[in-house]
Amino acid sequence: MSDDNPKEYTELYKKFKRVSIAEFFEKNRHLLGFDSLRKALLISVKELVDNSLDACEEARVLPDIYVEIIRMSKDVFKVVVEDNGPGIPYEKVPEIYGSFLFGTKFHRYVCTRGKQGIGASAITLYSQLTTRRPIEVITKTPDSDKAIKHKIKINVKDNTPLVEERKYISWNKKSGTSVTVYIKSQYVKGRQSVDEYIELTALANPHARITYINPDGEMFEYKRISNIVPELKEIRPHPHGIEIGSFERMLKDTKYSNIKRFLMKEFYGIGNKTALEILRKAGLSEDTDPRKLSFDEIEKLYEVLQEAKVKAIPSKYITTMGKDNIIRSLTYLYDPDFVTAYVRRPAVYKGNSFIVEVGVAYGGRIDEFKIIRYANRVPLLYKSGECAITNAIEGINLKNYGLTLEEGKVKDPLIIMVHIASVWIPFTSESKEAIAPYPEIIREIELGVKKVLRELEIFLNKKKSLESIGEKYKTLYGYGMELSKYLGDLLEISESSVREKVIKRIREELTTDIEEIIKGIREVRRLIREGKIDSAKAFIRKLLKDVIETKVMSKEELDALIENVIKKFEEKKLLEIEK
Amino acid sequence: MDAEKIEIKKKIEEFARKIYEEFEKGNPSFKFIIRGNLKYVEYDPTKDLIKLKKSYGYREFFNLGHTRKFTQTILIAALAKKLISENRTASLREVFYQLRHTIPIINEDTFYEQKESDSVIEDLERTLNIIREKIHIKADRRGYVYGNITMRDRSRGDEWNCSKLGMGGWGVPSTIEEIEILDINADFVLVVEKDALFERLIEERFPEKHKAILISAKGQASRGVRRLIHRLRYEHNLPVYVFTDGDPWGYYIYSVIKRGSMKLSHFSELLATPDVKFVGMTMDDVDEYDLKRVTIKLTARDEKRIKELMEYPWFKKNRNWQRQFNKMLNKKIKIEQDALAAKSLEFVAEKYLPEKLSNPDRLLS
Repeated sequence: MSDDNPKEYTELYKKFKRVSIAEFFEKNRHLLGFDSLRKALLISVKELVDNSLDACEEARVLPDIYVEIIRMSKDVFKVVVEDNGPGIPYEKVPEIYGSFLFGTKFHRYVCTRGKQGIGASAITLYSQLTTRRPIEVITKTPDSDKAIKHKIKINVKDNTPLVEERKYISWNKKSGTSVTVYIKSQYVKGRQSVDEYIELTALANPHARITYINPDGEMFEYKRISNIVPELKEIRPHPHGIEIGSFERMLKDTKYSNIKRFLMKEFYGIGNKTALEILRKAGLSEDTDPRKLSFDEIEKLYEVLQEAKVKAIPSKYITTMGKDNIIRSLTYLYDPDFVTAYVRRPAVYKGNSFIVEVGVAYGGRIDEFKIIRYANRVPLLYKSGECAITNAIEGINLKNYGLTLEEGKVKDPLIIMVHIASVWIPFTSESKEAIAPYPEIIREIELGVKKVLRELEIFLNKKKSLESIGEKYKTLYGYGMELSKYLGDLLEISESSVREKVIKRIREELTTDIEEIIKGIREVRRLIREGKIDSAKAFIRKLLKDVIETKVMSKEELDALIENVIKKFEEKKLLEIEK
Repeated sequence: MDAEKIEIKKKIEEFARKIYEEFEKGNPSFKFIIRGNLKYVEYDPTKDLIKLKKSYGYREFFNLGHTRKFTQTILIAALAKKLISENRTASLREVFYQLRHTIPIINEDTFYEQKESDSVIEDLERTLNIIREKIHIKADRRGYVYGNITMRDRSRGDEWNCSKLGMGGWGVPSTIEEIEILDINADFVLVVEKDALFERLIEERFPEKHKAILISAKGQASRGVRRLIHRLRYEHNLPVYVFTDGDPWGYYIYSVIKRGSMKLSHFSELLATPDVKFVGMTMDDVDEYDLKRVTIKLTARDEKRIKELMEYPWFKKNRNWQRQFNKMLNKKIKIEQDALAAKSLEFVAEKYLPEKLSNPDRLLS
């Protein structure tokens, strides 16, 4: 758990300092996620798309993102990611794509996706290592007439950008960025594929429009279903969440020449007293210049900082998806028979507030059981076995919620999605693919998932009873006829007049149930929406065939009844909302 | 037909009327008092009775879990009305056979076994708040009474004295509402758990020698026996003593006579006799009469039951009873009332009971 262990971090950092950047990268590809050809493609797309989404979000722009992967040869792919974001200041382009920085790119504390990324320069490096081709970046800021195009490599000896081409071009876009790379990789479908990543990204970002063309030429279009750009509230970093590489850069870049002021101004939750205490323990005087610390001093200060008592970051800085968005997204993507979502209240883990959001969707286009995991709105595709989300769900007895299990596997067409949002999420490793299963986090997930499962259970029970609705009327009719005779005896009235009343009342009940069928069975609603009233009638009649068999009513009477209910629905436009 | 019967018939008709009207409009349902169990009863320490914490349940025709029982209850109600009108009484088993048939369409029997109809009869009792005997449904006779007491069956006009019916005495029916007590010549009532002891005491002429009314409960006392005890105590002011085995089952027989049962807790005030006293067998008897060698070892089931009884509020608050239970648990023994025969056959009549009854203040209560 590197985020948790300053020592391990420091070791990594030292190692990183000693070797050349390319050498380090080649030997430690797995640390950055490039451990297989399949994963290399995913990681590259993910890095670029996440950056695009972050850029748009920060500029308060509704993202339009275009992703295309083209197979150039058996194992070389061209990846293009284009956005309508604010563009990159032209002079910054070489630095961003052509120099390799350790740790987070932006030492800012905010629920951005980029914090989980590896930095775009890692893709540049991977590209030049595997295909010897530069990264191509076109970017345009809103106030420029022309866009600028760069072809960049990294000078691996001194970690500086190597600009192979730089020219102004015209681009019929107000602003935006388009990145193209050629990388050696492998394209697969199904689980852990780019296709899946894009789908899940669309799910978590209902405010984005995403167009994706995969190497097989299939095009996926994910529409924008929300016009609200999620708000990111920036906060100074919490000292417990910072990585040592970022910490060093903060020290180097700070405008403060006094270490005490640096601690108090640049970090969240450090006051005068805490600052003095930290400096005393680190053996530094309070007017030391932070920009001139030695490596050992930095290391010591970092360790002390991790132990310091600092209050938790308030939950208002956490960016959640929100219940409505989760429901809307799940509905848009899977058209489920049942969907619900739930947002837990903020909880605290090691001084960091976090919020768990859960959604479930059942049926519709879903054909198997799947757990979808998110950390700060980024889908987690790997290492599900060691993730808090998977562990928490595995700890729940799903059978208790009306689900069918065979050999421990859920057989229902069900998606459970869990999102953990926090300005600092504890991952199990530097590749940030699984959330560490700490008891506080597990507990929150469990409570959230159980809550939505309880709602699902009610739906499943209702569904079950609708499926056996014919049986219900057989029972009611059978017992109803039986009791008519005795009720007649009791009241000294004729059996037939009681029967008449009982049947009439059973028919009323049937009307209510037909309404329930329409409300509860998607297929029926679809048929009605599409104007296929006869098919809808046949569908309902089939469910209720016992009603005719037991002579509660004739086929004609039942048809008339069904027709009336459907008419009522159409008049009230009860089905409109779904369109 | 007397006023009470007319009243009961009216009650049944009202029950039916309400359901009929709800079929017209609304949700056909009826309300009943939930059957007593440890959760739903409470102990009233001032009256020394178990009473039902009134909680109500509902049966609804349109609730598929209720439909069958709902219908069955109406069947029983219809039969009850018929019995009252015809002035006939049916046994529980007869009720079952009268109503048992197959329902067409669903191809299910109205009742598959007597247990099912018995429980619906109890439901109806708790719906109408009338004991089943008043709707002319009775259980088998259980328990006997012997002694100088003259009774009359109001509806038949027969008269008899319970000491002149032979050694078996008079079998107590499940309802004694029609029985008048014309004359009693006795000082107290002794209820014994077992028939064998009942006969032993008659053979020894105990009722005559001690002016006692002797009742055999034959295990757990039936409703009729409990009602008879209640009437002898409160209508004729006789002290009542209970004599059972010295085990948790015997002690619970005593408890039911005294405080009512949980199942019939809604009728406790009619059936229970709070000031009865307990003669034996006590754990102290084992020492006092030197009966250790004729005790029986407790089974695991006995021990479990003792621990349950100790937690019942009416036993829990009573130090003397707690002492008996603890003694039983510590020594891991129980003792039958028949064990007194180890001394001699007449010992119980000649020595044990006279000694015990001569000092009623020392008895457990």
